[in-house]
Amino acid sequence: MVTVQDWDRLLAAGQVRRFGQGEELLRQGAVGDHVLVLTVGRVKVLRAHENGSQLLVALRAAGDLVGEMASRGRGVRSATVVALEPCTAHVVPAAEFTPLLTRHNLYSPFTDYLTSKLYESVPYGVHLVHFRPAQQLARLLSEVVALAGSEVADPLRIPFSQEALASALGMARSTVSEAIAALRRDGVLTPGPALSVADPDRLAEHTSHTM
Amino acid sequence: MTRKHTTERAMILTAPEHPVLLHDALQRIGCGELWSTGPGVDLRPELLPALLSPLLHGLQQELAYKHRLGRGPAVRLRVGVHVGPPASRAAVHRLLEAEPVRELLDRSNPEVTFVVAAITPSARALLGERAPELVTAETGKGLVHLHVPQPSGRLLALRAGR
Repeated sequence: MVTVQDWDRLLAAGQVRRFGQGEELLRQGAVGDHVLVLTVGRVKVLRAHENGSQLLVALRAAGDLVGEMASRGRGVRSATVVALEPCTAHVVPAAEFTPLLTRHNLYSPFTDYLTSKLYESVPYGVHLVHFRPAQQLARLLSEVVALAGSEVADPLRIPFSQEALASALGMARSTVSEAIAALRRDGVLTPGPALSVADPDRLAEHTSHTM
Repeated sequence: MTRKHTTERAMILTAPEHPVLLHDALQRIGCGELWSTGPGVDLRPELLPALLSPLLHGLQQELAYKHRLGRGPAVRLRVGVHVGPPASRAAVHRLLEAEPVRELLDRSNPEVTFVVAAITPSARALLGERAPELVTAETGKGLVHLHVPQPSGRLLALRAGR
């Protein structure tokens, strides 16, 4: 969405920071207005529900921004961001980020980026609620695999437990287990016990109904 | 309002190469049962006002999802919306080739805006107060009402400047 030069400027404005698997890049409710520019690894974006549970709202990966909402708002984080694998990010203070947008005419692409993320105001599973459970699972798994960068050692491995998948999709654990078993029988997922995709193309076919 | 033609149908047409996409979008908004094989959705006109905005958003979200998956080139869709006898399909497809409709895609960000809609005057009349935000343009063969579920790029700049 931005040129290579502009992307490099953005990276140069930040301090490199590494995060281990499971580590929080940001915590919902915390005060802070820096923007994280992800260069390595996938993250999950979670928002706390009123009942205390954490719901998946989005996945992001290398090439994405994280924390960009607070840079424009009150400086309070609207979500928690957790590394799904070892991640690298450039931490850009808002005081550097905003002038960079102005100086290099990046407001328009940045506004486009924000609008493209507006669907994240609703939990991930809510968008998929009308699809059949097997399709919902195929859709989440397809996105997880698609976001794996070339630096990921095993891009077909799914860095989610069955529990986390069930929670992300708002499904019963047993429903997710059944859908996984069906995909394994079909050769779309590897036999297990680890959760891994054997055939990404066939997995993509499972996202639609017309099979 | 009395309808002269009881055979009138509401039509939401896309390019014929994306039937699965339309089915996915209908499923996404909980209307999967409206799908029938073909290049578009053909339905009783009275259903159109309630269906149109959710379906256009569903298509936009579905294409955004497909873009995130990064499988093949991004699909950007022009959607025609018309009410009339079934024979007017060809006219709707011609409408989609009109310059003002194509311009909407040219002026928006190809990684954000995936759907633009062209609504004929007959469909616009039926939508009434439930019509989405529209801009009216001249195609050379009559008026068309344009809607973009997720505007971006120069479309946003134009809107802000209004």
